[in-house]
This record gives sequence, structure tokens and C-alpha cells, in this order.
Amino acid sequence: MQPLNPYVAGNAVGGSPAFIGRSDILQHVYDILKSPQHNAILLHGQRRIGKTSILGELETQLQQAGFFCPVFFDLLGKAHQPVEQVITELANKICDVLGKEKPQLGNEPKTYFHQIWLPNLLKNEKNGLVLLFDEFDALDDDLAKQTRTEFFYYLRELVTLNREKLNFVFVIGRNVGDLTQIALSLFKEIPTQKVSLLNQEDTFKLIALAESNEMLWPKKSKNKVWELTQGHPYLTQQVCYCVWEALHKDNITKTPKVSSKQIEQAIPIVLERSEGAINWLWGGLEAAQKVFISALAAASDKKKIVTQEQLNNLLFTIGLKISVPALADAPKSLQDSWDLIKAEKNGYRFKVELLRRLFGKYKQLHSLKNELNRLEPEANNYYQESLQLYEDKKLDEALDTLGRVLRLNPNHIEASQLQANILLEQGKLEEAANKLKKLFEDHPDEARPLLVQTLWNVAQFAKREGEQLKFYEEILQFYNNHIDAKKEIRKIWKRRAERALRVDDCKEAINAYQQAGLKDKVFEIKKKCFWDKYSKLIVQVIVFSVVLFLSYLANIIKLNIDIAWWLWGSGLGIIIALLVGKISIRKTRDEF
Amino acid sequence: MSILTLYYVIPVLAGLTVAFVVAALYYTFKTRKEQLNRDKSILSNALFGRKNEIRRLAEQILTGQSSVIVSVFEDERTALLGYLSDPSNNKALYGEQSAKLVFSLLDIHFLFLETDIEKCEPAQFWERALKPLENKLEPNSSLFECYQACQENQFDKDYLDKLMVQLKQKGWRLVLMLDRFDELLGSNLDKPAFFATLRYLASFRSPSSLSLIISWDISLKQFHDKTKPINFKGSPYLNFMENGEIVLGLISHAEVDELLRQMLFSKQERQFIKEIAGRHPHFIQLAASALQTAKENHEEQPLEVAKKAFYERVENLLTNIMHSWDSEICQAIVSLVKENKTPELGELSLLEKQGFLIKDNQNQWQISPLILVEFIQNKTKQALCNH
Repeated sequence: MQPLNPYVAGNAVGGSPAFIGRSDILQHVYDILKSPQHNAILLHGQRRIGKTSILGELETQLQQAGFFCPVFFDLLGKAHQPVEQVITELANKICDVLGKEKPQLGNEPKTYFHQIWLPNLLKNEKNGLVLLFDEFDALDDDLAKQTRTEFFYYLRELVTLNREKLNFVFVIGRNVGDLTQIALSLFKEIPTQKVSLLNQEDTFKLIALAESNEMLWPKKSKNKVWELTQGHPYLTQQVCYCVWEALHKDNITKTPKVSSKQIEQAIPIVLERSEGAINWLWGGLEAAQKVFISALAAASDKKKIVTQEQLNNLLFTIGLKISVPALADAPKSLQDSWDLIKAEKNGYRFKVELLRRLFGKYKQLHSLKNELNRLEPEANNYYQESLQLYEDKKLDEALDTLGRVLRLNPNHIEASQLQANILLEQGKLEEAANKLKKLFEDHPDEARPLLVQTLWNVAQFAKREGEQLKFYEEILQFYNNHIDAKKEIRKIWKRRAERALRVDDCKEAINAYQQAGLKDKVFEIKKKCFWDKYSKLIVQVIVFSVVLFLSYLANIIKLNIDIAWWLWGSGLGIIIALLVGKISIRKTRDEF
Repeated sequence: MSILTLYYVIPVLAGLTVAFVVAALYYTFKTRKEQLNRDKSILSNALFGRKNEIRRLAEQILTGQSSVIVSVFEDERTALLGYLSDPSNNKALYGEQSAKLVFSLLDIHFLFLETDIEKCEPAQFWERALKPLENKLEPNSSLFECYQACQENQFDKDYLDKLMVQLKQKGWRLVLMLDRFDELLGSNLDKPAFFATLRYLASFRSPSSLSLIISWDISLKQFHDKTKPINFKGSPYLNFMENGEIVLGLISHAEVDELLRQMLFSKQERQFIKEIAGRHPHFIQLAASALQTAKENHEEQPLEVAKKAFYERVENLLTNIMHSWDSEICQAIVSLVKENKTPELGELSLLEKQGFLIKDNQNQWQISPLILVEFIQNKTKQALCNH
């Protein structure tokens, strides 16, 4: 059997040899446990950064140390459970860990747990308890407001129950500021600790996990991984996992040595497998943050710092032509709260190169047009209001509100579309078309369908053929494959050609048929017009030539050159040619 | 000399000729029969070209990690699960560790046929899922007692956890394979507590004594989007499996050539199959089978006939595939075929991984295989995407 891949990119690794580093965080927790002032700490950080692993490690270490009894309690899936049930489960878990019988909490488990059962337990137990609450933010669910409020208040009371022997470690997978007020009130006086990237030393230790497992990492290769992940534990594990997989694809005879090239070759697979890791991050970002981070990913190359001007130029290309306050605030929050970017002297750059590549690949700027609507929350609120007004058929009021939306956020695509729709409903076709043409300049895909439809309606209502033609041609400018517009244009030019023919305006008829794209007709008319124009002359020349030839024949028969014959012949030829010419023209005209 | 020739040489020669002809006929027939059998086995091997995926899945099992198999071809997914859990393959796949692995293959579709989709309780699910483990436990052993405690407590999370801890201590691992897992959505098991328990048991420890192998035709992202209403702010239930998301996509050009070379098709025929079926093994097998039938029937234009037969055979499958895509994704794909409108990759990356969206020589997005392009061209956008 081949050796097994020692890297773990998925499961929590707390309590296993794959857990590396985090000594600062663990020390902070131990300090809290020893502190007389505090008995709780909040760990927060991005998802997949290793928070549950830290809890798992704490559980193992505390168990081994023996001074505290750790109780890991996962709150995921409990947001909608009644508080009584959650408390009963917690009590069961505590008993389970302590090796006691399941408690009987009676009819009022909440009160009994808090006032009788837990205080008694703490009094009798030699060691204190450390409740390790994972996924605490799962409770912060708007759909379970009542349970949430009740539970948070309850926890607040629990935290103050026995500071000496009852300790808490809460873990949330988002920023503290993103919690609701009620949750924040619980953590008001609790120290917090951000869980972020591993330091270089620990990252190298993590990379070296496989060194006892048949894979060698020269310093250069370790540095390469560090360059790519900057100590992001999940991404580091992922890179090493994929490299290990690639090097052990075939049966190996000697211990492979990892090269920078092999690491780079593994990156496409790493990106493919890590897509999910940025989806959560993405879901938590505000619209302006999404736009900013995508622009930064699109504009920056490896390690390159992107200046504000370069970003502005890029944003201009997706239609963002005015400054948006929310966008100006985005870098600070992306740096301080999200730990994603770093402000440099001349601009910004991604903290983790692989995250830049992930955002660049999966969150492309041009696919973010919907986010533009949400750049200004106030504008978006007005937009929702205008939608309601529109549904209530209060069209004028809806238009006023939409005006407000677009003043606050001229990039609000849906507002522009709704505005055009309302104008259409009010019969203000040309005004609607103008609004849409403006939208088309920056957002062609979004404006096109409605604009084409509007122009079509305008064309249908136009009284003059020329106006109709203008609108149909305009439709083709915006959508070149509009079959109906092409048909109408052809019809108009065909009608024009027929009219021109009726007044013998060959040039106009040919031009019209050409515009209609009727090549056969153009050829036919060209032929007829040519005959019309030159037939008289041709017939005259032929008749003249024939008469002259006959005169010549007569002269030959007579074998005597007589100038009079030539004169007679030519004269007669001219007269007959003129007569024939007149007849032929009349005939051609009649045929027409 | 002439008498000798008449009486001896000619009959001998005649005899040899007859023997030669009979032998030739026999060997032709035998070779043909062998070829037919070989073709049949190639065409019915649902796992052709999946060597890497099998290896990766086995590795995930051996390291106690969980995986998701994503494929629109149900047969392929089920065959893969069957192969991984087949005792006759265990030794080759898992070596010494195979003795410590307990495989439990549970088809959610059948679970609901037996239990009732609206009434199936988590306890029923676990009862079924743990059956192979129960069968393997020695009565009166500590593990058996632990299992019994689980059963008595309606497979409560804490008891299940204890069981997993015991399994880990004994060095055992339960490989729980859940086919058509997406059918849980909308069922009575579609509850936060159920998914949270599954997540906790499979992911909290490393290496875990519970290795989950889920199979379905959606992506993890789609699953998380669908479960968002019941898990608004917590970790996505199965995000620990992201590294183990194995999409059964295209096989390599070399593998396609190998597959077709084995079936003795001409160069033109191989090209035809590659064009209409792309590099999806299931499509290749169907197209090759259609062509083989056309040839056996001595059709005048076997390629035309095969193409028609192949289209008829995959039409329903293609309808189902397109219906399994979100409406927006479906529309983007139809627009690419009908209007040549470049799609935005964001939401379409699964299709890229599955090989339905590929980049051509000019780096432009194209739909693959050709039969799918034809299928889309033959239908209206509404018929394809209104589901």
C-alpha cells in the first residue's frame, strides 16, 4: 500500500497531529480561564480558518491538563429549537462528559438548570467547567427571533453565574460587528480574539507534516507555499494535499522532493477544490465590498499593488462612472473586518495570493452587475418602495421615487428598467426609449431587451414611413439579429422601390431594392432601366448600320462607286433609325 | 508420379484445404465472439475512465474524510458506490485497512419508498444506515452495547457520537454511502438538527470514524443554497466536504481513444463518436453501441442511422439533465447555443467541471457534446428551461 495523504482539507483537526500552531490563541484562552475578571472569550474569524479545530484542540488539551472539564457543544441546527430543549441537551452533554446519569430537569428545565442543577454541580465538582460553544452565530437567526432573544438573555445570566468555575468559549464564523444587537449585548464585556492566518513558522511546520510520510519539502518549496497562502490553514492544507496527490499518482520508488513548479502545477486543482471556501466569504460581503474585491482581483497581478486610479478605471468599464461612498468605505472593512486585503502606500493588494486567484476566477467583475443596484442601501430601499408603488398602480409616485433612486445611485440597473417600463405603460414611448438608450451605454445586456421592445412599439405607432424606418434601423443598431425589424425594413424599401418604378425613377428603385436586400430585383431593374435608357440609341445604330450595309451591297452589285449612293443610304438609314427608335421606346414603356 | 498425385497428394491437399477453411472459420467466429463479448463488457462498464476518481475516493475513505460524488449520470454514480463497497475490491482498494472498514450503502430513494417520505424519522434513517455495522458487531461486545444504547435512545446525537468515538478507539470506520442524497431535501429529514448531526459526526474528528460518501446530481453549492432557509447564519452543513467534491466529468482524449480502439472502429467512425458524444464515457458508450447496432444491421448509412438512434436514446436523459440545472443556468446555456451569447462563468462552473461547457481552440465557450447542441437547437428555450 502507498502511504496515505497526511493533509486534511476538510475535517477539524483539533486533537490530532495535523493540528499545528495557534499557541497564541490557546494561551489567550488559558489566560481567560485563569483570570479572576473574565470567564468567557469570543473567538471569531472567517469560515475554514480553523476555529472548530481550535475548540477540538482545547477540548483535548484541557482534558489532559485535568484542571477544567471541557464540554464541546455544537449549536448548529439549534436556532429553531425551543430554549428548554437546548438547555436539556446541554445538561445531558455535561453529564455525559462528567460520566454522570442524565439529569432530570423537571417541568421548567430553564429555571431548574440555572438556579439549582448547575450551581449544585459546580459546587460539588472539583474542577471547573469550560463550555465550548461552536457555531454560536447559527443562533443569530432572524427567523427564530424569539428563541434567539430568550437564549441570549439566558446565556447572559449563565455567564455571571459562577465566574470561578464556569467558563465559556464562544466561536462565531463572522465578524463581531455583523451580529445582531441582542447578540452583541451578550459579548459586550467579553474579550474577543480574532482567528486569522498562521505565522510562517507554523505554516512551515504544517507543510512539513508529510516529511515523515514520504515527501520532502525543500525550503524553497515551503517558501512558495507561504507565498501563495500566507499561512491560511485551509488553503495551505489544500495546496499540500493536492501536491501530495499529484506526486503519489503513480507508484513511487523513491521519496519525491517537491519543487516550486510542481506546486504551481497543482494550483488549478487547488482553485477548483477551494471554490466553496470563497462562496461563504462572498455571501457575507456587502455589495460595495464585492465590487471592490472583484475589481482588485481583476486588476492585480501576482503581488502587484493596485492603485485607486487603476481600480477606478476598471470600474468605469463596468459602468461605474460616479463615486459611490460605500465603495470608498469598502477597503477599510475588507482589511479590518475581513482580513482579505492589505492597504499599501500606493494602493491595495490581496493578503493571500490564492484568494486573489480564487476571486479572479470565480467572482469576475463583469458578472457583478446586479451588485451595482445594491451599492447604495438607501437607494435600494427607495427602489423597493417604488416597486410597491408600481404594484399598487401608483405610476407617477413610483416614477418620482425611482428618480430619487437614480439620483442616489445612477448605476441602479433595475430602477432604470422599471422607470422605462412605467413610461411605456404610460404611453411615453420615446421618453422610455431615451432612458433605455442611456442605460444601454453602460449596461447593454441589461438594457437591450426592453429597449428593442420599446423601439419596436415606437415604430409601430409612427405615422410616417420614414420614421418607422428610422426606428427599425435603430433596433438593428442595438440588436443586429432582430428578424422582425429586418422584415419591416425590407417591406418599406420594397414599397419605396415600387413607387419609384411607377415614376420611372430607376436610380431610386435600384437603391431601394438594394436597401431591401433583393438582389434579383436589383439585377432585373438594372437590366430594364438599361434598355429603357439605351434601347433607342442601340436600335438607331443597328438600323443605320443595316441601311448603310444595304447601300454598300447595292453599290457593290453595281460595281460602281458613286458618292450619291452613300449619301442616299446614310440619309435613309438615319430616317428609318429615328422612326424605329420612337416605336421601340413606346413599346418598352407600354410593357412596363 | 501422376498416379501418386491422383491417389495421395490431391486428397491430402484437399483434406488440408478443408481443415484450413474450417479452422479459419472457427477462429473467425471465435474472435468475433470474443470481440463481441469484449465490446459488450466495454460498453457495459459504467466505470470506464474513472480510475483517478476511484483512487481519490478510496484515499478519502482511508484517511477518514468525506466525499461527494456529483454526476448527472445516475448509473455511473451508483456503479461507483457499488464498486467502492464491493467486498471483492476491498483488499485492492484499501489494503490492510479493509478489515476495519464497514460499508453501508443507503439509497435515499429506496429509504423513502420503504418508510414514507413525509414520516421518515432520523431514527429510522440511522437504523438503516447502521444495519451493516450492527450485523458485524459481536454480541456483548462494548461496541454492541454502545450500539444498543444508541438504538434505545432513538439514535440521539450524543449516543451516536459515543458510538463513533468507540469505533475510532477500535480503529474501525463506518463508510456511509448515501445515494441520491438530494432526495432528502423537502422530506421529513430535511431538518437542521439532522444535517447538523451528520456534519458533526463526520467532521469533528480527524481522522473520522465516519466517512460520508454522498452522491447526487447537484453541487454542494446548490445544496447549501437550498438549505439556506433552515441554516441562515451557521456554517453550510456540508462545507467540510468541499475538498472531496468529485465531479464525474470528461475523461481524457487518450482514454477516449483507448476505449474506441478496443472496439475496432474505423478512424472515421471513431471521429464520429467523439464528435457526437464528446468525452463523456456514458455518452460514448451509448453512441458506440448505436453505431455497432447499425453496423450489425448492415445499414447503408450506418453513421446517420446511429446518430438518429443515439439521439433517440439520449433525448430523455438530456431533458432530465437540462431540468436538473437552475433556470438561469439553463437559459445561459441555451443562449450560448442559439444566440452565441457568452455565458458568465460564476454559476456555471459546475457545468464546466461536468464537461458540458468547454473552451474551444479560440478560447471560446462551447457546449459539449454535439448531441446536446443539436438537442438544444431542436427545442425552444421555453421547453428547455421552464421547469
